Amino acid sequence: MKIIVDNNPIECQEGALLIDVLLDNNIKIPHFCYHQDLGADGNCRMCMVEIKGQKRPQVACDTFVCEGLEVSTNSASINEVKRSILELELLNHPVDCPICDQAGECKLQDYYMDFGLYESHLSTPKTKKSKHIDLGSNVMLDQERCVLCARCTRFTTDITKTGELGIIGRGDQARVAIAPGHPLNNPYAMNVVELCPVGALTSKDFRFQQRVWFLDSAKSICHGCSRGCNIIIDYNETKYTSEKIHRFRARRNNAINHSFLCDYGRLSYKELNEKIIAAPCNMETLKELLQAEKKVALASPSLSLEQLQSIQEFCKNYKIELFSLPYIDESFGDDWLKTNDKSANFAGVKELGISTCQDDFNSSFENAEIVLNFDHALLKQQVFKDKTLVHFTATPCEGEFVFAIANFAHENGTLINCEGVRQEFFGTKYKSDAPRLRELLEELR
Amino acid sequence: MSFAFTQENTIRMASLLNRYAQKKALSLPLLWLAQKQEGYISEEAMQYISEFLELPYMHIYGVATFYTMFRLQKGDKPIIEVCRTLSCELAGSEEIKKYLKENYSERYEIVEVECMGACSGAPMCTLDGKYFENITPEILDEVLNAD
Repeated sequence: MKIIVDNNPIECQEGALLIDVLLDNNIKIPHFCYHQDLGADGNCRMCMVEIKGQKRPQVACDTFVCEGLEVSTNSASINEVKRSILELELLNHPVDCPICDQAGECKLQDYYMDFGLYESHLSTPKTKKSKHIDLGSNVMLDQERCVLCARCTRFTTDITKTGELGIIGRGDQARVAIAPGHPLNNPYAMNVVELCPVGALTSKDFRFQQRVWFLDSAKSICHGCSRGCNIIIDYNETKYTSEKIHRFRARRNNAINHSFLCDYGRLSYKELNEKIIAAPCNMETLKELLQAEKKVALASPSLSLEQLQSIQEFCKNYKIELFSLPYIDESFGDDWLKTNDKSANFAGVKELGISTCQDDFNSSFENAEIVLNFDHALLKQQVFKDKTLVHFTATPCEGEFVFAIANFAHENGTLINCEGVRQEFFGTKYKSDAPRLRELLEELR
Repeated sequence: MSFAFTQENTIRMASLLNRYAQKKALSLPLLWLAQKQEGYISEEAMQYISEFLELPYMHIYGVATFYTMFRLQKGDKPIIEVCRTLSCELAGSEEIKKYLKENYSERYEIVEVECMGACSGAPMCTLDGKYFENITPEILDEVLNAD
């Protein structure tokens, strides 16, 4: 026996339930109450179809097929009926989809996407504005989500004084924008994403990556330069992926960075996710190496006071000359947050009395057989023929003796910034794959 | 392409500059001057004004988009502005608007605007900035077909 569904003939058994025929033939028929193993109940009215020769729409779960039945599941008029039924279902619904567990596999959501009322009941049409506009500097704008609070335009006008953002038009046409050909372009631009109280400004780097309620936060300090801006590290570990850091946010500190970060610092979280491939630590070999006569150590000036102290103690025990050299980049600093010294704790190095003399280091280095590198960038990318280099590193590094150590996201510690402010930072709640530097040094005692 | 004010307008700009305590106050007068000179406000003109006033380009652009009487695109037709505010409305501007749109919208760009301060001569319109008052369809025909 044949029936016609949306102008296509379909083979079926006489007397079968129409909704079963549709479902068995993979024809989309929205329904809530009907279930193939529970049978029909007919209460939700969602499976309405048009049947030729019948004045009113019929529910497919209470219609039996007969020869020559002509059914329409997708006409404009039947879709209008479905839309009305959905509107009724939603009258008392809390519409809390963002926090609902069923979101993404919810029939009400699915059907509303298909047949929903997208035009509001306003008597005038909604003003359409532009969406996903690339403003430059990793910032995306959705003008329709904007509430015109002008935080972002005030940031570029009053704080960076670069003036890229403004409000154009007026009335309900008013919207945040850049002037054509004048993109957002300043080293602090991504602060506007954090300043935006709604979803109008989002970060190209973070958007669509994570739902924020799945993130944990740790109070930390940016290690990008000697300013010591206060940050929040947002991270998580999901069922199928190991721990990952997803972003840095500014943590308000009126003495240092207020609520702001530079883009360089903000994006420096990425290197904390880099995996270090290192041979398993062989402590015995290392202990043998340490028997050598001429040894020198170079410690990164971005290590915490606590780490530097244990390095100092370790070097004293093994009679190793210890140095630390700052990371100076004359092109980095500016008159606000960024400083030319890109080391996070050089003031701490000086406070501990570690030698920072480049000439002394050079001459000691020349004579040394064994060089211990405590995470200093200077020695990581170089190969020295007549020397044995031992790296304790928190970033990827090549060499014969590489000991991976936990990075600052997995450490608690103290830093002293360029202005002498002593600040504590805290690690995430997960343990790093690599051991902490102090644990390693403890083993070597 | 670059923009510069004519000699006459440069003198005007200098005299305006003395009038205000802050350079910023010249944003509107200079935009007007640029529109008067070129018939519209080009990007180059806004760039020139922003450099002259030492303000971000976005500030000038924001002001220029806020006021509907600033034109940011070059039009290819002469502009007729018809008043749609109360006095003109009461004196029959509805009929004038309809007549203009039906008969002249091919040759002219017809824009409805708010009161231009000539209520004593309502209904009124302008052609390229020149006021025409107490207009009727007959007067419009006469004026618009003059050449």
